[in-house]
Amino acid sequence: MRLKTIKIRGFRGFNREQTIPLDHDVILIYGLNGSGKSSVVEALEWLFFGDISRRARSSCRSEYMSNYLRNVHYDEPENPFVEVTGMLNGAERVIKKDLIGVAGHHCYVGGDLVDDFSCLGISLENHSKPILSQGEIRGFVDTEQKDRWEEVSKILGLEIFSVFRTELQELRTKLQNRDEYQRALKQKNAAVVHLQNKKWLPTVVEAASQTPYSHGSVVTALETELATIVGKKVELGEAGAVLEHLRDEILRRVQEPKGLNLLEVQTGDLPEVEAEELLTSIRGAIEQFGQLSEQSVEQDYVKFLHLGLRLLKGRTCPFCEKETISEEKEMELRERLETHQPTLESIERLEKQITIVKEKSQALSEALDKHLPDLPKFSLAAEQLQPDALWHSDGVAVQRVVEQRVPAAQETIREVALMLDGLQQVFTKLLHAQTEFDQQDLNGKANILEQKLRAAMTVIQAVKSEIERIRNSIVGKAKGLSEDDKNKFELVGFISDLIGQLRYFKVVGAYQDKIGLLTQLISAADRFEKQRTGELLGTLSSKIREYYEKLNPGEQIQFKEIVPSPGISRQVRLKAESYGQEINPVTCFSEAHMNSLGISLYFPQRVDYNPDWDFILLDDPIQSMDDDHSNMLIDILQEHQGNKQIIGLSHSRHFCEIFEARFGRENILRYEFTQGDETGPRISLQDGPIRVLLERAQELAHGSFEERKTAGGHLRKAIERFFVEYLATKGQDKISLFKLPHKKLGERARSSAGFPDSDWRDIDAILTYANPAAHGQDPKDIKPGDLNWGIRKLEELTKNYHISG
Amino acid sequence: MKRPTKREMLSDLANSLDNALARELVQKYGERFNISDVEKLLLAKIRKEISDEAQDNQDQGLSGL
Repeated sequence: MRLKTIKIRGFRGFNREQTIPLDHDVILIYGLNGSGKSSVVEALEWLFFGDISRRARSSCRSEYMSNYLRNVHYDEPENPFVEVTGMLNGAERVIKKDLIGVAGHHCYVGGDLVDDFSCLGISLENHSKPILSQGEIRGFVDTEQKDRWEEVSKILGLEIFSVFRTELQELRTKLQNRDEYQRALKQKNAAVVHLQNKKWLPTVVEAASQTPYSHGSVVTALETELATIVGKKVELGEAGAVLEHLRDEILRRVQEPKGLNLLEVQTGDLPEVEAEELLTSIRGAIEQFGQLSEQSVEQDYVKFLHLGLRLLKGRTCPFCEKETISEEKEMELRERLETHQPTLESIERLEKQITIVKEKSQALSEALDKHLPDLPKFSLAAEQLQPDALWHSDGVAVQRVVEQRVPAAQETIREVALMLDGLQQVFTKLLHAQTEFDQQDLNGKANILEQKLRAAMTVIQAVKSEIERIRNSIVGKAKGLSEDDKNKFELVGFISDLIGQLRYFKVVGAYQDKIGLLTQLISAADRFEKQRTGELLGTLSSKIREYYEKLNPGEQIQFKEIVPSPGISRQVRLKAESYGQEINPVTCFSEAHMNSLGISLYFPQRVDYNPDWDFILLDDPIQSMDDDHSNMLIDILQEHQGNKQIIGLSHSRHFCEIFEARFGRENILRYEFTQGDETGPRISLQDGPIRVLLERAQELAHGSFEERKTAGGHLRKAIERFFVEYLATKGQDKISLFKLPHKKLGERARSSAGFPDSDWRDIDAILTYANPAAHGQDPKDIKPGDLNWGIRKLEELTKNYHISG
Repeated sequence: MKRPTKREMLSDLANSLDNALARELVQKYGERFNISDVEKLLLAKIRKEISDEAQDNQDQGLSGL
């Protein structure tokens, strides 16, 4: 991308719209601090790279929360904007960005609105920015080692790894905090701790703690332990019946109290899987309603069309029962229905989905109920247990289950059923377009339902656990049972529960496996980044060294290299040498050397390794530099002159003089920025090719008196250039010609270069308008038409004499 | 000399990994540089592993003991 013009309105230092032609190989912009020249740089940064570097480098970013991009005096209704015309791959492109609000934007390419500028096919990442702003020159050098790592990553294009690593860490935390995992972990840990405390099933405990988790190993360990307990090989699928039989055998030896046999509940796991599936169906239905609501056609209308065509008999309308539907009309109606076919299919899918939700809701409610005890039986058990002193406390506990715990559990199930019913009603109304679709509200209801379902299952599990505890307590006190049998009874009951809880082990295993994988991936990305950084830093260091040596030839204080800091920290060190002794440039370099180093870092990455961008822009590059260094910098710029557009901005008149002397005044397009007023900076074109001078004059010719005066000035300069170029075509030295006063140029052209009188008369006439005071004319008498004539005439003369520029 | 793109960098990282799922995660991220794509992939894997167990439970007749 090579720049041709930039147009700015309402952005940073620019209030009124101003256009700055930039279609030249070497451009110099002079302006004191505060004159607005950096606003041009910021305009380019914001347009192409999304933000201004000043904000990115600021240590008080909060100050930039307000309207920092918009010019404070701009109060036009139209949006502020920045527009660049440039050459890209041989074609002219117009690229524009409107500022919307504080920091929003709209992007345009060739007048078309686009999402972003990726369609240009050039790198728009910060490390490719061909602009070196003031703060950036020292920013890399004068920073902490860990911040320098980030900067190096950006320069080398490796910051994707930092971003990826951070996002992986956040994802790992997110997984660790997921409800499903935390719940399963709690259940698994409770089961394992219980086993450890009781010193039961040690091989199962060991298998459950292995990393990576292997569910097969846990199942094998459990089956092996079961075989020992039961006395024969038992697969988990048959274990339930076998364990129940074992418990009955033990109970038969018990002088058991009346009531014990009544304390039975549904064994096996709670319907967690069914609950998950129901919630997934509900959320799926909500999403489908959302998609349907985005389709503009009324659902009822589509159903009406569909039904009407189904009921159509021949040409008879199903409504008026008259033959009013012609063949063409029927065709039209069918075509209309076809265009809405996707809506119809969506509606059919939704109807099925809602039926599934209804069926699953019912099944779930029934499944939950099954896990609650039979209240009449339990009440009877409580009556039978309480009279005997030995079982009195157990009887009271059963009574509490009957009077408090079960009703509370039933209440939670009722709440869940009510919520499910409510949701189904909403779905039915939505299907018949009897209510507005509110996705946020529905998702909120689904979330509350999920919480209530979980709460219901927790309460039911607590009831079951309490009943088991009571049973164990009764058996534990029962006469006729050995300690061994009592332990076995408790163990067998626990194993029955454990088999149902193996799902939690699987959930924990699956999550921990992925969390472990993320940890490994973070480490691998880290190692890879360091390795790649080390490799690329070697190449980068040698290029930086080359530039540094060019800026500081023959000096005994030289930059050596950038290296990763030893160890695991993500830090990068700079190394330099002073008379053969290693030094730290951050602490030992002078200001000028620091700037040299900053510039040396810029050139390899943003110039040499940056083929997408055909310009170099340096904003005040000579901070603290002396003349020698300034000249070396210009040497470097001249090396790139052939293949890059060079744009330099400086507040130093001395640097500008050196710049002009080195590049040649005749080769530079030069602007001067001066502090204007609330409308923006005053930009004057000091010198440049004839074409640019005349374009500028043309823009100003119809303006205010002051603007017309400026146009006249540009026209005069264009005439000077014309004569320089004319005399150069006659073999005279251009550099010497530029040193001549402008009056002498015309005289020389006439006297020694054969410039014809007829054309001289035209030149003289142009000069009358361009410099009226020198011709005894009142500048106020010069009209736009006069200037326009002068501009056109000079263009014609330039063409006639084949003068370029 | 052109700097490798983000995609190329991630592709190199993916190729350096032994673990197939880790490679898949890096490649998925490299498609849109969006970590939620990686999250969705991981959760899908977790779901599959858990539901394989639920299927095992059904096959073994463990539900409704």
